[in-house]
Amino acid sequence: MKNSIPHSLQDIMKVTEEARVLSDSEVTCIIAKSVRETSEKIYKENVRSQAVDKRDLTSFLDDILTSPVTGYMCMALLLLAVFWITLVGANWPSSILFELLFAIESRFVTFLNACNAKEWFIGITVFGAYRSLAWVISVMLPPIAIFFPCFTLLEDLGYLPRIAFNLDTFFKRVGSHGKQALTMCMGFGCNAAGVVACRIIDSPRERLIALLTNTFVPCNGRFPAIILVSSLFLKASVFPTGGAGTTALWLLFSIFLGVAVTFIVSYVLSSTVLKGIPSAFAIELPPYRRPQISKVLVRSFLDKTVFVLARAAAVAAPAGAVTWLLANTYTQGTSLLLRLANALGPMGRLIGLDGFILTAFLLGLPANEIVLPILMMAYSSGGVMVDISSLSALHSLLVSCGWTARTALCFIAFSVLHYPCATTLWTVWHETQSFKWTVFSALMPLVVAFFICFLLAQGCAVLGIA
Amino acid sequence: MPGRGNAAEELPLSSVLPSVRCRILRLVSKDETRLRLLYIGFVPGVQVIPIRRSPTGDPTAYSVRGAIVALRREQAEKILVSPDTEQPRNSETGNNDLSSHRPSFPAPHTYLITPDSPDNLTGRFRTGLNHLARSILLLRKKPAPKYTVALAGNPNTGKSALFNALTGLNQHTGNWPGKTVKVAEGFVMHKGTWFRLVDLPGTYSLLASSKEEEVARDFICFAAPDVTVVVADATCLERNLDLILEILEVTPRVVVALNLMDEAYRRKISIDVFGLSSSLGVPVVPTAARLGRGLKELMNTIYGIAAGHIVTSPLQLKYDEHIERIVSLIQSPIEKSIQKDSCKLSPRWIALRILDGNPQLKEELYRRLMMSV
Repeated sequence: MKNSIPHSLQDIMKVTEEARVLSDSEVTCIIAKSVRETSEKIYKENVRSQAVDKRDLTSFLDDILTSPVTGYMCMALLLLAVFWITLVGANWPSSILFELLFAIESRFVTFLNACNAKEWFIGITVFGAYRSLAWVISVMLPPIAIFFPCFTLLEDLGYLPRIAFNLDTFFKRVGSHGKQALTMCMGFGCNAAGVVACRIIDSPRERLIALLTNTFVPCNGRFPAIILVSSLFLKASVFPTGGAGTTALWLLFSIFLGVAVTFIVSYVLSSTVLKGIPSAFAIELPPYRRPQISKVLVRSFLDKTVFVLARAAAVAAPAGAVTWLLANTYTQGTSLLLRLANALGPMGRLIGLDGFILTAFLLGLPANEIVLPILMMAYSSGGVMVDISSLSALHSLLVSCGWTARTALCFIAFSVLHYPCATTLWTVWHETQSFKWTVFSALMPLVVAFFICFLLAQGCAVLGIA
Repeated sequence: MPGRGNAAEELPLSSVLPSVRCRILRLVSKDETRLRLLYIGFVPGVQVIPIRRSPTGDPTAYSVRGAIVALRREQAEKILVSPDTEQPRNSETGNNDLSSHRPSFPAPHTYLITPDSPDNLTGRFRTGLNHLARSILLLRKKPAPKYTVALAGNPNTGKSALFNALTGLNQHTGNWPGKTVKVAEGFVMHKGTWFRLVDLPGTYSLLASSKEEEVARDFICFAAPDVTVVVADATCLERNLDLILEILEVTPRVVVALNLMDEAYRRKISIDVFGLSSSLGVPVVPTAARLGRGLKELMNTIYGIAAGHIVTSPLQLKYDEHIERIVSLIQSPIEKSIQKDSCKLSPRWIALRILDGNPQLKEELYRRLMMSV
């Protein structure tokens, strides 16, 4: 290195080093100080502010939103409100989209039949690719289109840094950064977006921790399955009084599980693989500003919703086609899907699941939304992704395949903890530029998921819960 | 030496109780942490007031130079302060000594941005519509930008809002080559000329070292944009001035966009725009990007500088004699070793940056200089 630098530059370096030794005080500090003094002078000459009322809106809101008494309560209420709006608001457009897209599907089939298309061609394109695409769009689009604008609104308001401010202690204890709270919140919408959001963390070590643990936060794509399964199995058997409230409780349980595992894994990572001193922590708490609602809507729709949806659609269609092929290719009388499920069976039963569920998660790698459809497709021998219109029909299908409350519990845990979807993995690769960390980000959650599900399954067996 | 005077009174910032005024004496931390603290605004001589603690007591929010920044206890321990017995700073409460010879600032009516003008909503709607229509029209033409304009500024100054207001839909976001930092690029047509606008990541200083800040620094210093617009927050201008001064050292082709003027108006902060402009030696244009105010004036000024109609004479900082001596020592060998046509950076700036020792920037400088040698 030294040899390659021309003489004059080497001289410069020498002089500089000498200068640094010579000077008593740090040069950086002196330079920064004189810059500051100049700005102060210019500021004093040109800016006049009338005696500002110290109790302005920002400090008033901060008194409420970051106080020990009401701070956490407000935070929980706000997040709950965002979830509630997302879940409730998405129901209606979801069902409309669903009906619309499946109405198109039947037209599509009629059209292809009229064209004398081969049966396998119709199978792959319509029952495979189109059907999973339609499912993903109708299940994913409404929640994402509601969640991200809500979140961007909070961001525009200036509230998000306060979340990091409130929660930093907990993240400090496990050796990570308070801003990880924000990337986790983002992960509730979409893990890929959460991984991208990790950029806000300055230091590489803490950024990597946040990035690798983001998948433990259940995303929008996983919530529908968790809600469906918990509403079918868990409310009746665990809380006999049942009701919509218990579903929400199980949703909270899954979030709690994910957050707890995030903290544990962050701690383990920061004290083993990613050991290091915590870097300088500084977050600016900007004044609250009135958000520009219309611009927020347009921006978050263009930037996030379309991006996430396009990506999900791009992987869902091929995945659907592959699944259809696997389910409809027969060797010696059994379909490939069935063979795969049988092969994975013993492993699945060990952790309270079965071979079909593991197969569904494996095939659902491209997008978490299609896990449940694939599962139903695998269970019903028809080999087509089905949507069973009534919940009781779905319930009886699952029960006939051996599902119990224990299976549902393990399904939820596995769904929360398993490896991230293909898009997230791709994003991880893109962000880290490292093959090693990408593989690690896929395998580490898998190990954790197996471990926790094993504990749950065996624990249930010991306690005698069926 | 500066800041070593009252050794008896030194105490770490972390032990100061909320709402007790104190003044920073020095930073005891090393390297990375020290740099970060410096560039956020924790510079010796600055007044700091702890504002509030987080619910669990650990990160504490400090008011420093008009902004609120939260620090963990570990960082606050590294900052040594002494209680500030001085009266509250004049500039923060009515500025008495100055007001004697300058009774009140002229409020230039063109610059006066009131958020509550009667045609507010319809006006905004109309400008929005116009903008949309123009953007769509422009989308059909393929832009061939003549000038490149960089948008720099501290975080949270409404830089992106300004960028969006100027470019409308005529933009795209891409990753910077080799970096994972997103940089938005957009095109504006003004007076028949296409401008390429680059929305750089928000940064407190050109000398800091996070990925985002490196991208912003490299673009301003090495990509030589035709015009650099520094977006400043009118409501906490003092801290924003640091970055402006740093950029003025690099390039004279600078416009300051004094954004959030509507907010400043609301908070009754009056800014002598002409005075500021003459202090800095570059044009200062007040804007309110959210309301779409001042954009035309800004584009006119950008055009003027790009086309060479406006010539600036930026303020050059003078440091203490110690530093000036060393700078003059190493300035001449640098001048010899670089070729004027391939390197637009001034030898003085390079000398200063070699002195103040951010390793990444030094490395980058050596690399670039060697290429041009």
